[in-house]
Amino acid sequence: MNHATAAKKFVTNYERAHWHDASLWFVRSKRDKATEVIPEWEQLRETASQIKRHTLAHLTDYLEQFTREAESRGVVVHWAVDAKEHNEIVAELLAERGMTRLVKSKSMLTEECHLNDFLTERGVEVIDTDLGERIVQLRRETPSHIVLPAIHLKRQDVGQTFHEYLDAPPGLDSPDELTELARHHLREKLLAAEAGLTGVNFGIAETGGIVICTNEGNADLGTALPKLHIASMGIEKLIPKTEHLSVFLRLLARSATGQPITSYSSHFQGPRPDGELHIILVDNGRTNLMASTEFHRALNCIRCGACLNTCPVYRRSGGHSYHATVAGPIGSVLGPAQDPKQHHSLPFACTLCGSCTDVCPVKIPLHHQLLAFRSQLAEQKLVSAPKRWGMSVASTIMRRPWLFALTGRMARFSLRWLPRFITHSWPNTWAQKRELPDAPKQSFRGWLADRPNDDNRNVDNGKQK
Amino acid sequence: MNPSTNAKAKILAAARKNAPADMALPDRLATAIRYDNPLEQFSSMLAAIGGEAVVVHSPDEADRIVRGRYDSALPWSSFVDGIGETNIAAAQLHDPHSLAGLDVAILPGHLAVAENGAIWITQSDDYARAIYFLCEHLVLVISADDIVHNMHEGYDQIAERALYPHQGFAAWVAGPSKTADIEQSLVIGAQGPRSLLVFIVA
Repeated sequence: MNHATAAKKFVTNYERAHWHDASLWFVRSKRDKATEVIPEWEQLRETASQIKRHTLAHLTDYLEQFTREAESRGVVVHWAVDAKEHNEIVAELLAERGMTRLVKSKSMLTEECHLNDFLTERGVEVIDTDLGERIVQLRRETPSHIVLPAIHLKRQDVGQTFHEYLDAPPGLDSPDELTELARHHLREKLLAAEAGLTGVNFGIAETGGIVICTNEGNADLGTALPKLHIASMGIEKLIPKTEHLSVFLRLLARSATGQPITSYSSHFQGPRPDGELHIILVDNGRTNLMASTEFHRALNCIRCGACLNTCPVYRRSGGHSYHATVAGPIGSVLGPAQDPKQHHSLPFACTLCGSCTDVCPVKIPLHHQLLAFRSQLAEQKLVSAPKRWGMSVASTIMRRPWLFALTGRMARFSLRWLPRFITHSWPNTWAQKRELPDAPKQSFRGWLADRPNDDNRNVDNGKQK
Repeated sequence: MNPSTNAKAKILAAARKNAPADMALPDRLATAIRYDNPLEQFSSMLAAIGGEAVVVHSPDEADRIVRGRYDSALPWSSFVDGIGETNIAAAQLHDPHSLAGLDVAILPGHLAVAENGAIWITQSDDYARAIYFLCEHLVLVISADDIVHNMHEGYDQIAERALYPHQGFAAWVAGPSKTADIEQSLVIGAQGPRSLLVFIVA
């Protein structure tokens, strides 16, 4: 579905859309405060960017090293070309051991693979243990944000959901009481679980270790209680060395929520003495994206969500309007890279303001990528016909200064005199919620030529004498 | 060939073929933040993230504080000499599920970081690691000499003092378990400990 169409419902509720906007801007402001106190912040970003780009250029070597080291510490490493292979590996690991109760901590990769549905259909009870994810799971929704899955919901919505599914008394809406109720529910599920599945924030090539960051401690409980730990990891999550974690852990939480670090940054090297650790390395389109000189840097993403929090379009349209696993600016690159037919409208859900690029902790040139994607999509004829015609007309005009001047004159005249049913007719979607500006009396060039004598007078036709 | 081996070969070949242009691994950051008084910075950082730091000059002093604050009629476990006590059966310590009712766990921390209030903890043969996450109240004990300024120094220490076992679990713990998943409203005590008290032995 087209992003603009999908966002319609969200933006129609004016009050709620503005509340959403303000909530996320609050998170963005916290991020600013947390970064301003670190004098070397910009060097940190640059260093992180270079480490990630280096790793991607040598990914094969680092994947081999990671696997060797992990296996030497007793980890079983699996490889999955796509989502289906990934899901089958998980299902088989559980089936082989006769396990039907799985607890999961946050993993955008398993969302991407639609693992929950796959396992549920095979009789496995899957419980998301991150509070926000559990809320959306109970509501049969998807996370609307990669770090704040339930940011689109109000406390009353959560109260209603807990009333329906967790026997909460009706009308309960205090975050403290709701969290307390969820604590008991989730701890019960964690204690009863037979297996725990986690995502991976960082994989370290030199040790075969993995690092997982949470605030709730749910990944730790989910792997310290059941004996089987399955970690699903995109192949781009690697970094070369343990010491590089100092760079990334300084960046991640500050960029995400403005915290100096998450409550728990847990390092796993090998399985528990009495348990098993299986790591599934997943491609699912990542090696294809590596081949794209324009977009491969999107693979440097550490999923902090800073670009979502700052994006004016995301803040005002909500995560679900993207109809993609990952919303916001980074999702608008990853979505169409994975499936251009499905996600072609996303690179246009952007004002090119560049704020995402400014806050990205690994310096992905997001707004440049979104712009570049537009031309690719236009070449593939994946842009709507009116937009394509419009662009081709604009290009014809802008390449010819005389035609540009003539069009300007015509526009100044017609904006003033054309009736509203023409200026606000259906092909002009821009004007559906906006008023057109008053037509200026003269063009910029005309205004410049009429100015009284000064040094700039001789500017003409864009050439300076 | 089993499917996973086949997938491995495919993925590695594709990653080699599609590798983007090389870029050298960057040098270490030239400078990183340092503080006039790292102990003070650590304490105020920890308070900001929902924990509490208390400077003590002897285990006795810490012991008195712990006993004044928590109820030792409830299940406790301590692995720091002279602070608190263990009043649960030894067998429980190795069975993670039986630690669910634990009220207070008093454990050693190895390092503390001034810039973010994080404390480095590691797995031990003496107890299941679930203890850090299942207890209601976590008490960590560090030495004032083990406070470093920033994360770079933290990982330096971990390497120099071999604080990360070749095989096993270790973590930075920064504050109690918390969440802001409901309307961005911060709630302490999500699934893990409801409080974190850190004794800095000076």
